[in-house]
Amino acid sequence: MSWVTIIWSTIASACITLAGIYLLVWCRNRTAWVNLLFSLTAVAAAGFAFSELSMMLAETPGQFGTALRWGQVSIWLWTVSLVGFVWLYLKAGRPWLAWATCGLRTFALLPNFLVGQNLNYREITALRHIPLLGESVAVAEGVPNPWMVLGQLSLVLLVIFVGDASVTAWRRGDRRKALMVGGSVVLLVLVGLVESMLIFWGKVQAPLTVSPFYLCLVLVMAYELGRDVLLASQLVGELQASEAGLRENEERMSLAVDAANFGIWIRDLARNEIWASDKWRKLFGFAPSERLDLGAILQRLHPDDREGFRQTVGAAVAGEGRYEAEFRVMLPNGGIRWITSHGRVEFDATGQPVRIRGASRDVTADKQAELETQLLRQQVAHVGRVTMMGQLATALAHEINQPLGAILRNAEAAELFMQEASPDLDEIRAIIADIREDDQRAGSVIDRMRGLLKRQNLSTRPIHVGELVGDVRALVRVDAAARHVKLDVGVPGDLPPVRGDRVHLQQVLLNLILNGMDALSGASLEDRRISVTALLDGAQTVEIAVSDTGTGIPDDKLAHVFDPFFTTKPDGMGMGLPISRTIIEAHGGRFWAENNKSGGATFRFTLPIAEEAAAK
Amino acid sequence: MSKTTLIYVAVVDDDEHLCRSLGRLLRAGGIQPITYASAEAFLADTKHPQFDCLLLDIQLDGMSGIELARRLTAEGCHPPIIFITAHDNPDIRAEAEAAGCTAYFRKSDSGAEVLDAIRRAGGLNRTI
Repeated sequence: MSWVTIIWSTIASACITLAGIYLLVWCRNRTAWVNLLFSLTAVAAAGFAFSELSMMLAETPGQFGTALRWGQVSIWLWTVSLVGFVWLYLKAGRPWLAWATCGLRTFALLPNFLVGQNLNYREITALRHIPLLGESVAVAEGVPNPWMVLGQLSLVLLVIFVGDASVTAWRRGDRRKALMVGGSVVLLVLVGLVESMLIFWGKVQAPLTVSPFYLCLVLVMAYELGRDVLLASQLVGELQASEAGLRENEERMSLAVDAANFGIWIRDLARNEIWASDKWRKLFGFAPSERLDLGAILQRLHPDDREGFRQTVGAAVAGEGRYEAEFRVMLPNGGIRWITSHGRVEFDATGQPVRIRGASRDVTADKQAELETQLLRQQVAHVGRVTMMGQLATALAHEINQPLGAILRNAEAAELFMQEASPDLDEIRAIIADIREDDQRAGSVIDRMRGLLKRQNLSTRPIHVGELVGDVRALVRVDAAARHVKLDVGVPGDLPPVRGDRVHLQQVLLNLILNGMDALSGASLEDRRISVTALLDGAQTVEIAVSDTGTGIPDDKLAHVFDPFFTTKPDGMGMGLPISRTIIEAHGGRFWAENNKSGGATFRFTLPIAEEAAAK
Repeated sequence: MSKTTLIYVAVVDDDEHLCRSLGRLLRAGGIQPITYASAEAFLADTKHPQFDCLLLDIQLDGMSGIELARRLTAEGCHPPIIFITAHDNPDIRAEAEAAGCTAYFRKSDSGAEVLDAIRRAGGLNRTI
């Protein structure tokens, strides 16, 4: 074994090994043509190294010529695959230069096989042996083949093509690729070209040693390709990690959505199609495969909630962008479910709504709790009303019992004095004077009480009668339902606000409605109705009326309903209406009662319109 | 009847009109009333004759009628107590009876009954 054989064999096997590796890479990924092209370049380099070794070890000019002829085939393959590699790898280069290079090189194969001994020598006349690395290697002597200029020209074109492609890649920003691949191709091909020209044109007597340069080129290419493969695999790893992260996020999201009892959905506005999660379908009572559209969903909504829902969604699509709605869903099994739904509208670049995404949740339990709270609040209000009246009654009883007690004792004393033979008239006169004084005192207690109510801080502000009636209606709703009383409200929406103290006016309305319900306790179930109406009375006042369909007030009692302690109820205290009237009068209004022609009684009171509204 | 049979009654009520009218009724019934506007005024009076009966209002400014009754009971011997109140409720009645009273009236009750009760209590007091 000699050094030359060892080195050139090593070059060839290195090239073959690399070719094999990248061929496998290409086999795994058939679209990665750049790997196949590199493989071919490496095979060609190995082939040429083998040819060079054969030339150096040739014993006859014939052997030398044959090795060089087949070496030209390797050079052809090398040139063509390198052009392809650069073209694909740098994604740059002028096609005509590529085609010209490959065409010229292919054409050069014709004189290689047809003219003379090979492309480089018309005739090899003799072999000369010169020393190389301590070994004697063969060098040819003969007539150069002028056709060899074709091959050399193709190599020049190759250099120009690669140089041009590298410049393009460099300008594009792929500086590393341009420098490593482009630069080394240009440099090493030029070195090889110059060496072969000097040798073949007979300027230098030396063996052809281009293979080491080609090996260098193959190594650089392999290094760059390997780096890309490495990067790609890193990328794949990262991609997998991020995919796993996405999946993880999705899992977490779906866990959160499930835990919060949310059903989620997406509505495509253009196609009127709705996708919804299984949870959502369960909430709304749809089968998993049932086709969904807005119509089908609206059908599920409680009729009272449909219009409101439609308007809410309409406003969101028209520009608000999001909405929050609460409605009842009527389930196919007859049940009712309260749902809150949050939606977000997505708009395209032109501002057209494209789709709505949303989440819906079952709030039936919350709703029930809310209703129970409302019931409790109503009970508290009821107790409060009783307590207020009770406290007043107690205070009044004490205040009034004192003068009444004194009157009684004076009268009894007078009776006893009168039984005496000679009554003391002065004493009797004093008694009568005291009785009169105590009577006035009793009267003044009532006045004082009313004055007290009047003095109570009335915090008046503009109040919408509709809201006022709504508040009270909410308070008595449960009570009314339990007593089968239908409560009608007729308050025009354009009624100007009145000036008043909300809490006091609520007490008045509450008292009237509860009185009305009491009056209806004897009526048949179908005939229990209370209506609260309001209307504009002149330019300055609003008149509010509470009517019931009960038996009405006996005519002889009508004048007394506002008297303190006047009551028709066995457990009544007779203070509700006097206090109510005091409150209304403190507001600057009037309060009166009348019987309806069709039966039942109506209590009416007026309230002044809030100045701001009246001024308009 | 000599002076020794005269019945003296203390009337404690913070309402001046009630005090006066009740006093009149007692006088018309042949009973000698001495009126006080408060429990404190009653306790402060040391020169009064021996009372045969105390007529106490329950709601008084300052010490209440029931507190006065308790205090007198704690001090030992005292004349029979009759309560007269404007508020009649079972709790107050029970409290009054616990404090030791021989009768309990509302202000709207008949004056004749009150006089009878005083006479009974006064007579009882004398026999003891």
